[in-house]
Amino acid sequence: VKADERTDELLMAELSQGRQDALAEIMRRYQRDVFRFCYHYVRHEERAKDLAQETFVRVFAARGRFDPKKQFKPWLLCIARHLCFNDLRKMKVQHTESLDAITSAALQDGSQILEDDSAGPGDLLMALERKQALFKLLDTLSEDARELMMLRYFERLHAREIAEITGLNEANVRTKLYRILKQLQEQCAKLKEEL
Amino acid sequence: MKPSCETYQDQFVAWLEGSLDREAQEQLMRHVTDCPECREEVAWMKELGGELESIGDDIAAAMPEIDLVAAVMAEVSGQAEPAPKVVVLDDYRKPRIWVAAGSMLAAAAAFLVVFWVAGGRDYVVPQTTPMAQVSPGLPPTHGPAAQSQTSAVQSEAQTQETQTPAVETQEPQTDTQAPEFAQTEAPELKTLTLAQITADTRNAANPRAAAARFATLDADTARKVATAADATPEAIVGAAASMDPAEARIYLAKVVEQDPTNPYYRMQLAMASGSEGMVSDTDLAAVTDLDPENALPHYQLASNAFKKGDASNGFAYLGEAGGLKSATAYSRTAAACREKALEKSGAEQSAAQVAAAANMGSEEYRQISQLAQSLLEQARAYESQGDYESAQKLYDAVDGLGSQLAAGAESSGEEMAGLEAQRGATDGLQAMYQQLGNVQDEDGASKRAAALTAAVQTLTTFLGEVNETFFDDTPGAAANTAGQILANGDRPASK
Repeated sequence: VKADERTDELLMAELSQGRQDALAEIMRRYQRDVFRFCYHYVRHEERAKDLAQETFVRVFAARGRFDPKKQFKPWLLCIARHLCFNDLRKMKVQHTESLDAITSAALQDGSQILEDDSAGPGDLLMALERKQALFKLLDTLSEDARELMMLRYFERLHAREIAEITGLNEANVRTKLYRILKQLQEQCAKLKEEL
Repeated sequence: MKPSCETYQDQFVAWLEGSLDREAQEQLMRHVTDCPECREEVAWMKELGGELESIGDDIAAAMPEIDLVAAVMAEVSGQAEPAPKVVVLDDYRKPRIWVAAGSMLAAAAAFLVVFWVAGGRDYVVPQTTPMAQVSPGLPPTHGPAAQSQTSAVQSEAQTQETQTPAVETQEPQTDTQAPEFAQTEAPELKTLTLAQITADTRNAANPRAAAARFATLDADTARKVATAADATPEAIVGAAASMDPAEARIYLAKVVEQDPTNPYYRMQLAMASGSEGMVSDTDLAAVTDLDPENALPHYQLASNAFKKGDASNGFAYLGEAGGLKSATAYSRTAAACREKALEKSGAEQSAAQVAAAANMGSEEYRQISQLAQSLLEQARAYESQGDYESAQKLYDAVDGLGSQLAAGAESSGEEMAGLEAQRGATDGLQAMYQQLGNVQDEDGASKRAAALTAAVQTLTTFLGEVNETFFDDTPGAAANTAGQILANGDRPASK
């Protein structure tokens, strides 16, 4: 099957002209991303799924307001982000301390480390411990800081895209990213000393 | 890390994400090679970033597969009405009536005062007198009636000075235009934030004007934006809008060379390249080739021809213009360029959007008003010579320009300039019919004038509602509206 070569922006233009199959294609491209993105905010698989679904319904409703000169993905994630914040407000939950199944599984998974031939069993254990410690450290950050770390490193978005999604200024995003990273590094160093 | 190295911190972030341009990257590499502290800095940033990314990857790998397509398609299948294309009135609830006065004069004056004049950058548009009120009898500077009437008219013009500074009509125009740009007083924009605009507009008498003020860059910043190595054509053209024509011309010429197919860029070059109040014929002709459906450059060519005393070409251009359906001065492209220039200057993105959206149409309003004014003066000049046939042709042409703008305007500013032009033409015709004792046509013109006044008021009220959103305290409201205006223009949806 030949891959669909229409750009996201073209698909949005088609959608706004009434071609609903464009939405299906957009979803095939992004549903996983949006689901994961929402999951990072709410850390609850079922709610993340509902939020992802609602995001695409909103995309459809807002199809006439998309500016084709802009990139589609940040616009899409911006919608998802608003829905996640609403959800968190409604649930009156901050990010839960307890980890749900997905995160627990992720933090126990050493497959990536084992793929590295030079790694021994001792390395694996240390790496896992370090990963878990780092994840816990992320949770000690402020909501805003944690969000920026998530957008940059979990979702691998660039500062420019993060700026579009959060409404911050691009340069400001970089400054903040640096400061948060520095803060994390200092805390990591402290942990190491304690061990 | 040395204090002097702190300036590199943000660049490290940009570098590690791969979005630093080559020149900056090379400069950074040179520094890092020489500076052990910064080498260490980059090393830990890279390591920590890598670990964070690997956590993200693990989570991504642990996510279950989902397929929401069927569920979403079922949910949206019932809502298939066409999407709204234009800014809808509902987005500007909270009605606020600015204009209660019944006359064109009051409505148009209110429009100007409410929106742009107070804060506008260089608008020579009248604060109290709309185009329709400009005294008849002003001669064309180079047209058929110029020689016999010059002195009488100059004294008349002087007595009217306080009421009708509408458009520069005295020659030579080059002298009066330069200071217009030189007087530009723009706020410092390098760190412009939405919070700053909000603070400035909240209590302003003219919130839109207050917000629009931020769309102009100071001369140094404009130059920096235009000369930045990675400046896009849009940002350069946006920056050029904040420069005096002589400087703007240099940058615009380069952009046009790079992108010779964009009619707006070419139009801007035409505006910056003119002399003695005329825009450049060559560039205008290029615009008519690039955008053959747009009547506006044809009218500008006609105006140029009349100013040069070349009536036969003038009427020929008007004939070409009259055969087209719509006209525009490209307000949306203009606003997009300003937005990009503001962003490039370091302004917060939402601030850039709000300022550019607030400013949308103001420059184009001025441009079209000046054009219509010059054609109306020409009409009055023929009238005063007793050449009523030529006068009527010109009044009709200006009326036609208004209709074409109603069809093609990209902003309310353009539309308003079109309505005022039509009102000016109708007033001129009414006065002429009266003089000729043509009661029937005079009555028709009078009714049409009343309808135009009503249209101006409707548009003014609509803009009053849009204006509301520029000092709305709700977070995100101004930015949201600005985004919509930039995408769809600020004209009422009902058009």
